[in-house]
Amino acid sequence: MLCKIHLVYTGQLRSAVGMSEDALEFAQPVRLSEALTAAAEKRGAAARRILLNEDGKIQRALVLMVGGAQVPRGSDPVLENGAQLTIMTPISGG
Amino acid sequence: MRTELTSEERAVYEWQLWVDDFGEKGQLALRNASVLVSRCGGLGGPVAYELAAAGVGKLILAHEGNVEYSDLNRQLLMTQDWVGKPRIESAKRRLQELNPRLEVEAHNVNVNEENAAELVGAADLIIDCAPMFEERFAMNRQAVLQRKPIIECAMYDLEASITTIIPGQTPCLACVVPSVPPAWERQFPVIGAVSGAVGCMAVMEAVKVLAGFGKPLLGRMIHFDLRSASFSEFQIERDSDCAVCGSL
Ligand SMILES: [Zn+2]
Repeated sequence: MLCKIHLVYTGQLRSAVGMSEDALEFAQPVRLSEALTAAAEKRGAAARRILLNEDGKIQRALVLMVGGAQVPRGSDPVLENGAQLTIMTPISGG
Repeated sequence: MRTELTSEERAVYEWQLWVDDFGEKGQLALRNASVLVSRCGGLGGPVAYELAAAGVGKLILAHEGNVEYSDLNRQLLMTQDWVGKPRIESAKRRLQELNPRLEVEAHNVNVNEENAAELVGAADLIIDCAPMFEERFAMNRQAVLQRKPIIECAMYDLEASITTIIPGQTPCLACVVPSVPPAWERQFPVIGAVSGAVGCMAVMEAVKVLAGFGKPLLGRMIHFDLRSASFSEFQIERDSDCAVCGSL
């Protein structure tokens, strides 16, 4: 069964990729880390630098939301068809 | 501690004394409160101005440096005639023009690891408007240590986010952002009305927490994008391994 993941890019990530919404399709439900890796591959080096560290792991400073809830730090949940993943790069004042 | 409003205060705050659940009790709570705002630029300026208008008794402001032309699209407490002069002086002057009853403790310095304990200690509540994550982490750490509520607000481009932290009860900043984000840069795009919008929301969070009414953003983060005029609310979680608040 096709698994479509809706992505929302915010902050510096939105600036880097030039869009706020995106979608990824997989053959089956995927883990969060796989979705982020696929997004990095799809959107190129600027996105990759923000999404993944040098070891290809999820950047520690990202704030990730699935649906309306934050993904607990360190967990890698399975995203089902239709899931919305919001990727927030922390922002500040000034 | 004041237990009654003056006749002048009743006149000035008449319209908000009519607000359900706020009233004279809420107004007195604001009058007796001290709020630390760091810094008082694009975000902290509107925050300080709205707090002054609402009748907070004392503002503690920390903001280093002189007014620059590039401040003026968003830093509403700065004026063009003050370019090259200390921001903190412009801020204090503008706030007391609006509210001469307001006590302003103005520091021409940014919050850092050395001064955070004292600045946070002098306040009942903190509104974090700082650009540097090092400043934000220093304030968060002290707010948690001293069990003071702290409102985290931030902006970028046409986006903003806000949450209210009660140490030991809600996630702290370090639960959500454990380290300086590598993509973050000191200068970034923003339109002043965006920082003003989230600054006004931060003041409403402060008013609710200080006056003890309404439903603050506890364990909830609002993110909005005014490019598409879309608002989202997220549940945020305490990190049991948080280096700052994990032991509370
Ligand atoms: Zn924490």
